[in-house]
Amino acid sequence: MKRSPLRRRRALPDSLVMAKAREPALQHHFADLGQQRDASSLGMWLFLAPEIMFFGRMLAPISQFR
Amino acid sequence: MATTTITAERENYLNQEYGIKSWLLTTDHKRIALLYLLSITFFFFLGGFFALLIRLELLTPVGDLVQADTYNKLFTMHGQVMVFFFLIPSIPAVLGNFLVPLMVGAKDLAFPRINLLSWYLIIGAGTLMLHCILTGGADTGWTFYTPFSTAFSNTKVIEAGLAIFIAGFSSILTGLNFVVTVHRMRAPGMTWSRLPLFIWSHYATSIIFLLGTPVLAITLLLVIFERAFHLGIFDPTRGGDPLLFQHLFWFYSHPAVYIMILPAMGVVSEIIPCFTRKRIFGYKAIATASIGIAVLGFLVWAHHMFVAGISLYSAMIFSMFSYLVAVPSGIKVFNWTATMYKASISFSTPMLYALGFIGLFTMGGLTGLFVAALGVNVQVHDTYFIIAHFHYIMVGGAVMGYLGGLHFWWPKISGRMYPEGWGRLAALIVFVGFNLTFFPQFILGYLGMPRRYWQYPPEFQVLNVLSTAGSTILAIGYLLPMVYFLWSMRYGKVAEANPWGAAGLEWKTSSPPPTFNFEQTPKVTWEAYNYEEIPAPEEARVAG
Repeated sequence: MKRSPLRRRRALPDSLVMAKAREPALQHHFADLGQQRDASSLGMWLFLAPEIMFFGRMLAPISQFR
Repeated sequence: MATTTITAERENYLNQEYGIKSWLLTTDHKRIALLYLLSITFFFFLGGFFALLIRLELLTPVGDLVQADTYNKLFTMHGQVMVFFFLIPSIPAVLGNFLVPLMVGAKDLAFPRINLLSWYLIIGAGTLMLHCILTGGADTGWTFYTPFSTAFSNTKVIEAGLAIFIAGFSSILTGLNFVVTVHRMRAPGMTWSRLPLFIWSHYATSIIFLLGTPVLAITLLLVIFERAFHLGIFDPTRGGDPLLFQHLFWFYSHPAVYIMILPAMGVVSEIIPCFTRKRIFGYKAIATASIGIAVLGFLVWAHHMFVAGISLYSAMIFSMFSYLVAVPSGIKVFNWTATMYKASISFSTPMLYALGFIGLFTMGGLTGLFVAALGVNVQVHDTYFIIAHFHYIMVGGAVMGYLGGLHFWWPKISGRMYPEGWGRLAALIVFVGFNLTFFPQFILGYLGMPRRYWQYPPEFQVLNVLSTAGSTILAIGYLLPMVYFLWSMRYGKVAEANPWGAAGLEWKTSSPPPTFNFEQTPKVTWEAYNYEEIPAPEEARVAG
């Protein structure tokens, strides 16, 4: 997988990556724990976007009109 | 089944498990796609039923079938059901859900449980909507304009708003899932420039889901609060601004049109290279145009408000941006046409829908330029010209794309072929019925018939009768595919892994695919749409 700025800052220990096949925390649809962690953290960061749009759009009119 | 006598059926996502629990608790993206297919088909026919009642009422100039109040509810419920419970989830949640992981070579979407949650959200929202409809419904139009919706309407505005609020979160989660999947789950070798254009258009759609839908959610919440607790955000007597509602609403609802049309463009970009046996012309241009449409879509919302009293200069800016949307749209249409140039085209069912899409979308898009012009907008504002324009985009574009995609991937989804002759007949009926329904409405609007009235001056009757006649033909065209798709699930010819000889990873696995999509994680070493390397299957080549 290509590296990108959003990719994890600290690499997972190699032993953990090697043990992916028997790793109980690894969900079935990910290739390895690194990918799983990347996906989760990107998901959390992206979730901030709708949150900002949601609350931002609520506070803007309220601050203007009340 | 006839086939079981020859070979034992291979294990796939459909026969892996049986029973209602295995469907309702599944996290398999393919099964969730089928759950979506069932639910949105229901909402499609519900919304279509309201449309037929509207057309029946407009058969005669006087109000005889329903009176004004009921008519207001009919067009409101038609709009709300069709937009929020059919069109927005249609291609992304059904075809996108099924195909995004397959096309990028992943085992599932990044967050399978959140994917199931999105389905439950839309089912919850749909149930609330149904309850709202059965107990009276709302009459504000699908747009919920204030101050009518907040201060004057005596119908179930809060319930309808809440239903759409919940449905919005279903879209947000689907969009989130798609973006993360495309970023993080691609198979080895599947670079960004090798992604199918279907993925690019879904990526662009997901951006709109993530950035646009929350704005609709908060807008509806503010309407609900204002109606329930007299908050004073939109009410001028309390220091609010009714126009603010239109700004907030269209900030989402104009990009929502691109939520509907972008995935359909993705479908067409897959169908056309397959049935012309050519690499798509201008891959990068089409991919960039998808993102361009998504971005520009956020800058045009006030073109819905040209007569609402916005300043001339802001109207000019928004008019200019609306014109700019034509550039990426034109790029796509010209590239599809260039792909077809000098190709040996086979006119099978998906291709007929794709061709229909190009023609109807172009008409819808060009009339969009008419209404983006400040002067013409004043003449046709709130007339049937607008109705015809956006139905050419939403029905002629999005629904044609949805049906084309459903036919194209039906062998992959069900493992069966649909009857080709019936398919082509239905595509033809849909095209004829659609144009007969909506083309007269362009003329009606130009002549000045306003939208949202249950009666009209007698001189408009001929065109209205034509439109109603067309809508019944269209209804037959929509019922036919449902009938033969159901028929094909039992009696259809068993489909091979790649019946069309199509490029794309989804055709490299068996039909229907196994639960984890691929026997082995695919390694991509070829460019997208490498049709010069794939032989065309003889039987799928229908004589043009």
